[in-house]
Amino acid sequence: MQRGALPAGVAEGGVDARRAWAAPWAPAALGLALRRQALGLATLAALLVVWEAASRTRLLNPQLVPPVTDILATFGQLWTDRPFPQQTFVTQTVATLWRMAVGYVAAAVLGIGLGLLMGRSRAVADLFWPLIEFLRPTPPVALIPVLLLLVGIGDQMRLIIIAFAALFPILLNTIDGVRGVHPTLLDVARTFRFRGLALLRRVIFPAALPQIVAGLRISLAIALIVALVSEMVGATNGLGYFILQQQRGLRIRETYAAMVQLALVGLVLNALFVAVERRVLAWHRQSTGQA
Amino acid sequence: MGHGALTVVARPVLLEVVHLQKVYAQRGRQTVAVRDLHFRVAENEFLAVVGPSGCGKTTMLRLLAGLLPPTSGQVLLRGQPVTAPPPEMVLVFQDYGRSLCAWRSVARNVQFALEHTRWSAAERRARVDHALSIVGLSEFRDHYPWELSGGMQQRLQIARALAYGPRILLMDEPFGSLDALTRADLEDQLLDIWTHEPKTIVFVTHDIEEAVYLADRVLVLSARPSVVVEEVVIDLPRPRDQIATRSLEAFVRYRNHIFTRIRREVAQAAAGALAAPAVS
Amino acid sequence: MRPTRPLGYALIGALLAGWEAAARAGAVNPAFLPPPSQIAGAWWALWASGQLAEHLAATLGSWAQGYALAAVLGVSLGLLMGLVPAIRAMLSTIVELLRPMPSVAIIPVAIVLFGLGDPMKRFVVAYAALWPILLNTLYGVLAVDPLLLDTARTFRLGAVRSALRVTLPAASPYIATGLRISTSIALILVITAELVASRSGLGYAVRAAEQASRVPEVYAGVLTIAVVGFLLNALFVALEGRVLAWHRGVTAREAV
Repeated sequence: MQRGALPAGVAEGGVDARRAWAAPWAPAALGLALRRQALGLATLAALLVVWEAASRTRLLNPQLVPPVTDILATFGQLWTDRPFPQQTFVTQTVATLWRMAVGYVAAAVLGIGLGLLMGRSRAVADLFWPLIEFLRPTPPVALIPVLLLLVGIGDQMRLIIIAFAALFPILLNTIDGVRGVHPTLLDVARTFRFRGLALLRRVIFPAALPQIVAGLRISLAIALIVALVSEMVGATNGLGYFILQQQRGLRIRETYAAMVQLALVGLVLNALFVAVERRVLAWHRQSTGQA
Repeated sequence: MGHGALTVVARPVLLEVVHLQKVYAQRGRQTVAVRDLHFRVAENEFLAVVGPSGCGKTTMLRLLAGLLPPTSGQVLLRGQPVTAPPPEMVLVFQDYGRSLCAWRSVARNVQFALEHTRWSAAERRARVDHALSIVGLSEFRDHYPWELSGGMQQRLQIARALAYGPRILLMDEPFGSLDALTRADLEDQLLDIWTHEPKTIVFVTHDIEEAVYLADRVLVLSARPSVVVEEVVIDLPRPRDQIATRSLEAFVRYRNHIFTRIRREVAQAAAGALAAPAVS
Repeated sequence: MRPTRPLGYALIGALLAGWEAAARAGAVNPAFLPPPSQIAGAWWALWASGQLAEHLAATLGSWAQGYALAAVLGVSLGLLMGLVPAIRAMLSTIVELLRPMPSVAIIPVAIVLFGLGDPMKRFVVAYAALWPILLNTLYGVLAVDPLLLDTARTFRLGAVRSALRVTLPAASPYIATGLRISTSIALILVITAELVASRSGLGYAVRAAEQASRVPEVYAGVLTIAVVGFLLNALFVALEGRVLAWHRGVTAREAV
């Protein structure tokens, strides 16, 4: 059974409900989407209004919880405070995203490559498995001080830690995906003379792709988190560095605005990933309904 | 024992199975899947293989196809031992869903069979088109496997095998998971294909009537560990017809004979006695 | 046992031995990469002096409190959202907007609201751990076979009884997955909070050692954190295995 497939006894309705939940922006007609979100948007708006009122009337200390409008104004400022492309949010966001991208791609290449190998060869898997089992539950952020000692405070440290953290979900999911390729398919491939690299590239990799993509999605979130932490601990740019600086400088509205920016970055990255996933895995249907 | 090749009209022997045995060793326990298979298959013959459940029919096919090494004995193709999947042989699986490339369209799935062959791009296109039209899937060439019904998926698998143009087609209960009407339809399509593009077919099925309907000759296997206990030459007129042929008295006789034989095998196996290979 | 099974342990052994030799021989600068024996010594010294235990307790304390809060809130909210479409609709936008936000982003705001110290840590852990639990509970509830719910209805179970006796157990594999993912997320965040802005806990201890160049202590601290992570995970998997023994197939290893 494919990982991620629902347990036996779960109706199709459950799967569709989950899919519908996971991507409310997916429906073709934006109007339909907005209508479905109407109650949600209304609740959100109500919450924001309450927040604004509470802050302005000093029910909540505006020094600690600024009014929503102030936060949004600051947010706008940080997007437009200088001529393009030197706006604060642009430079800081690009710095973070760049680190993330490099670490993520390195992790993907290593994770998929090693995962394909380990999935196919029990010997290779046995070689690395205990090491992986021990390293995996280690919070990657805990290794930052070690890396600071070994490679200093530069970008190298950050890239290594991001790649390290993003590696495991990709690696493990790739191994699972490869091992999950049905033996019948492998027999078919052998019959039609697929061997070695061709077998890996044209049969095993596509068959394992849904699982690999699941790992890539998890790793994307992790890469972002670890990038931010590495910036908080020691960097001179990036959103992680920026947001902590604002808090330390007691620039409260900027702190909140940076948090909003981080939410936005997360949202956009996720949406992009889902869009790409939908195209790449257009052929994939969960086999839950079939025997 | 393999007298079949002598009783069939002098067609050259293509495939020879010589005292084939397969023993699985797992956690110190030995399971004999196939004890002693010994028979011949003539060129362009339609050979059906039936036997009780679990008698190792699938194992036998995989041994024939070179996907499994035998514990002892050999499979000879034109006198040469089969140690790996031979280029002129294709195995059509029962589990069609798992045998197709879900990420490829129908046409590209058929093309999958041709990617390591020596035909030119134009020839491949032609073969794909031809195969799809034979099984009636031409309009679905750009669809994906998940969009097809079970019967259509199995036809796709067959189309893929046909495009490859094998001399020998091994089929593992290919219609087993399909409903009766689809099955009848595909049986006739298969006979049609076999008549127009002659090839050797080894067809494993649990459905005795299907075996009698389709084949020139039927091999009956014992319960596991399997041996060939009988071979029945089917002397029914061709072309076969779902209604006319199945109503023939001879058809019923063949069918009853084989059914009784298998039932006896199952009973003997249950009683613990090993059935000695019968001389037919 | 496969002949290649012990290879992996041999690898670890070889790496440690190589490390020890290289550090002693000066091939790597022992000031930055001390030999494992020295690290072990530093670890023992820290343990014996009670410092390690103190910091460990601080970290685990914040972890546990934040986690517990997240678990209670996450499961209840997930249940509620799963069972009551109105609530689900109301909260959907907020959830979808907050969910992709990297949880570490909450740390500076947490400092603003709670200052430095344990309440801040607890809040951060609870916030981060909430999401996997909430979302997985929600998915689990939505995935419950409607047939089961219909069956409950024919036996005239009320809404609450049905939720507790049917939905909750049926969704428990998902809930367990969420709880498991959250154990590691909670750990990541408590360590981060300690690294960045705290005066207590293992993360703080490691950072302090690093800044004071007490190098073997840095490694000893990181090792402790790694072991804590490993044990928490192993503990959870064992627990999950026993409680969910009836449910095969889902207790297979999850990716994160």
